[in-house]
Amino acid sequence: METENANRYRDVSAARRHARRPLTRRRFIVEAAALGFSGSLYGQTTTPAEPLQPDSAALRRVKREGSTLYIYNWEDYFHPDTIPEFEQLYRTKVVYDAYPGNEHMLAKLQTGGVSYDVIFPTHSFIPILVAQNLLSPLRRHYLPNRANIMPRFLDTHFDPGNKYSLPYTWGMTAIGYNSKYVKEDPNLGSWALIFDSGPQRYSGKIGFTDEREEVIAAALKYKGFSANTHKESELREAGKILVNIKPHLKAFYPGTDEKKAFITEDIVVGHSWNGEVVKAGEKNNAVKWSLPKEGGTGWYDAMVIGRQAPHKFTAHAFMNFLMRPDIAAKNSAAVGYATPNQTALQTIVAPEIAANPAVYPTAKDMKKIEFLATIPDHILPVYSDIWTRLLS
Amino acid sequence: MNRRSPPALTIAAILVFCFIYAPLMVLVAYSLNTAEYGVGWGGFTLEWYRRIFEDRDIQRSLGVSLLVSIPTVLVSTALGTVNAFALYRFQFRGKDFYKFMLYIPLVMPSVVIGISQLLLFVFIKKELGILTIIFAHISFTVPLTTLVILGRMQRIDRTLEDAAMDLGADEITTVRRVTLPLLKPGIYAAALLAFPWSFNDFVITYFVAGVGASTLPIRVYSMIRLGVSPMVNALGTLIVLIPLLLVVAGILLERRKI
Amino acid sequence: MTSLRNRLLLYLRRHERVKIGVLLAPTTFWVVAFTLLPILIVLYYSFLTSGLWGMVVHELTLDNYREIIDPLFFKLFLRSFLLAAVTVVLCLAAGYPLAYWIAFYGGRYKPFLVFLVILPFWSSYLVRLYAWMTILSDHGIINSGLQLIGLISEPIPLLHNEFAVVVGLTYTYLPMMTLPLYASLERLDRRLLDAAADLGAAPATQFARVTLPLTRGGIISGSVLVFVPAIGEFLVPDLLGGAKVMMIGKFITMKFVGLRDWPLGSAFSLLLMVLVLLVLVPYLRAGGSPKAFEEQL
Repeated sequence: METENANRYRDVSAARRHARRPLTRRRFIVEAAALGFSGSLYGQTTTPAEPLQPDSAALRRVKREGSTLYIYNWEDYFHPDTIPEFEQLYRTKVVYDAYPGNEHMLAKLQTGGVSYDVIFPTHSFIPILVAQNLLSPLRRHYLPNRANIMPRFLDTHFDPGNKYSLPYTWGMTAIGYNSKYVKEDPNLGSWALIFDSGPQRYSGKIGFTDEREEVIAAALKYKGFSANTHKESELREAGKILVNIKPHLKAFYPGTDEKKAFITEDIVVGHSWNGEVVKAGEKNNAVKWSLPKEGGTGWYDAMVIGRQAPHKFTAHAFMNFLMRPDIAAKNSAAVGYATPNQTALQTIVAPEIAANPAVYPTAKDMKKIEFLATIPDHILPVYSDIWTRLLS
Repeated sequence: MNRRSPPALTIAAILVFCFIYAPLMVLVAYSLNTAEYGVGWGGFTLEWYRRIFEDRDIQRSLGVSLLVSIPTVLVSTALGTVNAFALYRFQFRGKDFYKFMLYIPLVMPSVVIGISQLLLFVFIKKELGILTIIFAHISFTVPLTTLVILGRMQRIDRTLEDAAMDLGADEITTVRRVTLPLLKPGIYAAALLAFPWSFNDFVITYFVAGVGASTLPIRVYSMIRLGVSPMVNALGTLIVLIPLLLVVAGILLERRKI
Repeated sequence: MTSLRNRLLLYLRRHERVKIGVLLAPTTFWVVAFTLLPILIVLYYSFLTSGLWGMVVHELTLDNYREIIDPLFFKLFLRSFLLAAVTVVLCLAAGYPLAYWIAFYGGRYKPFLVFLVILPFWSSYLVRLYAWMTILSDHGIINSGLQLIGLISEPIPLLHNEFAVVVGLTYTYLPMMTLPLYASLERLDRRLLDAAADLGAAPATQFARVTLPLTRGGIISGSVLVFVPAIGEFLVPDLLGGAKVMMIGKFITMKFVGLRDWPLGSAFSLLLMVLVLLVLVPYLRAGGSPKAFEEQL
């Protein structure tokens, strides 16, 4: 059955084949180093490539495409001023539909009946969207602000040559905890905080994200395996660990829901995205971030344009707008995640944020982060099965 | 027979009423509370209501919801009237099966209805959007309007129609000048009851919503889950109270004597 | 014009069937297109092959039904069944005294009291469930109240467990139980109770030997009307159940939206549909109808 399915999808695109290449931790570190990530700051300064006001030709084209741009993004994933500012600048209207997770987004796109202009998938989903022919290639000359992006986030093997995508934000997935309740726990600084201390000390007060790959990766990391392992035995072991911890969980929090649970102290430890912990920490300063010694996962959320996007030019304009350093910095500060925008980071992002290891990991922390690969076809049924068993 | 209720029974009944209305009270109370995250009582405020009127996403969702519910109500009331008429007046083979099919959307779990509607639109390659939501909503409001109007129809004095016919009115004239006016309160009631059904539906809409078609319940669902702002209490209060007023109006209309 | 109309009327008068046909056409179309056809499509999808990443392969297979037999899913169905059954019992426990009180002691306020029972039913249950989330949370009024009077020192977990789900289901479907009960209690001939009393039956005996048997119809109606939607419920386990309480309705939704496995999801919803019909058809055959809807007016 598994191989049958795999065979059925032999004809995936080049991008997909590329992504299937396993991204081991070792290879990631090599890559990260090659891309200059381990340096003191994140590369060289470049100058903004575009004047702030769009010229009249651009405005005319936006107008010709119609009055409304449809975007599909994670919930609460912009600074509140971002969209009004774009609307004013380009004299157009933006409709922002939100989804709570990649799977949900993919499901809606797969109905074939939705044509969004700009969508914000996580990096590991780009090859899937490409393979299913759901994306439209980018036109580079509409995107001059691309020059602001750190080289490290360009030309990744999830989208070689950035044919379809550009990065929007990036972050890591590890542990958030409430220092009021997590005191003198020897397991702090390890995944054991959740998996070993959890059942006794924090039962019923543990949260998890709702993304399948991330949840399974957490258990893999706890056991010291690679988050991108292809060994079924390791995956099954992770699955067992998760089934065991499940009775002690409060909930699987989709999207950005976990933030609220941290703030209200509904959960005291949680498998979480760093931005949620950072934003929760601003409201409840007992909430802290911990990148465990076994390591966590890394990701970036990208901007892509839908295959049947009715407003492609405006979509490019919007993407370009989001890569403007001041806008990128503002969005990044509002959502709590790091910006891949080098110019923004060096010139605009507040120093205390740039120095916050919960947002911008130190070079040492960076070595502990393993970027998630797209799950290869032959192992996908194992993931589905583990997840189904965990949830049902 | 004893006309006074045993105290235990009265207490039980009052407790059940409390159970029914407690959530609404809590909602209203929290919507006027300054404290964020619903932790404790911080003081009285109307701030959350003010914010709703400034929130453009909520306004847009309200617009989408009305754009869905109004056509839904119009179409399903018209279809319901025709249905009720046919079901009441005529005996035909398969009537029971017909009634059964009408009931299905009312009694099946919403999830099943939502999935079947989604697969239908996928199957006929219809782009998901406001139109698909309207279609799906009509499919579960028609049974409701049919039942309501049928109920009214059974209370109509048929001799009035016979009298009209005896006086020489043909069937069309009779329907137009006698039956429909008599049915009017029932039709209005059906429309006013169908409205909250369509307006409040979440599950089925969740499956068939497409681009730019986030209705108010879809918005509220994501606000509930993100729920960092007490605005959702205020919005919830409005969403609960306004349709209730409509229902009260509907019931009063229906109860009015002919 | 008039002659055309007359000819039409004459024709219709002679052909009763055509008249019925014309009147039923729009709804027949609707029923076929939006109820029957979608169910057939679900049936079709349940025999298709699940591809990777949510693709659907148009090759017929029985795999989905084979997969359903997994004991894992049996447990899922069993849990949903039990939660729905507990809900029926609780609705009965709460709905019967309420209906009895209204029917026997409501006096001239009866219509108003019945109205009060169904009123919330017409408002957004999404919002009402949210209200329950705030009530049951660790900082909700129950926990803070109990802490205030010193009964507990730590909040007791009321949300995100079976308890919360049962409360939510009972709350949501209570009117569906109360109304048929009320209707049958209203129809109950009071003279029978008087006769029983005259013959020396104690109130408890009257209730057990007269009232209860005579309102059996209402009890069955109410139970069916509560059980059927409760077993397939999505929002209640989603909002109140947290990670632990999975029910079949939520599972199907996740199969569709989360895991994008449409064929397996279809097989599941079909199975649910069959379960529901197994309960519903005998009930409708026996002359029951979704009375709650009719008697709300």
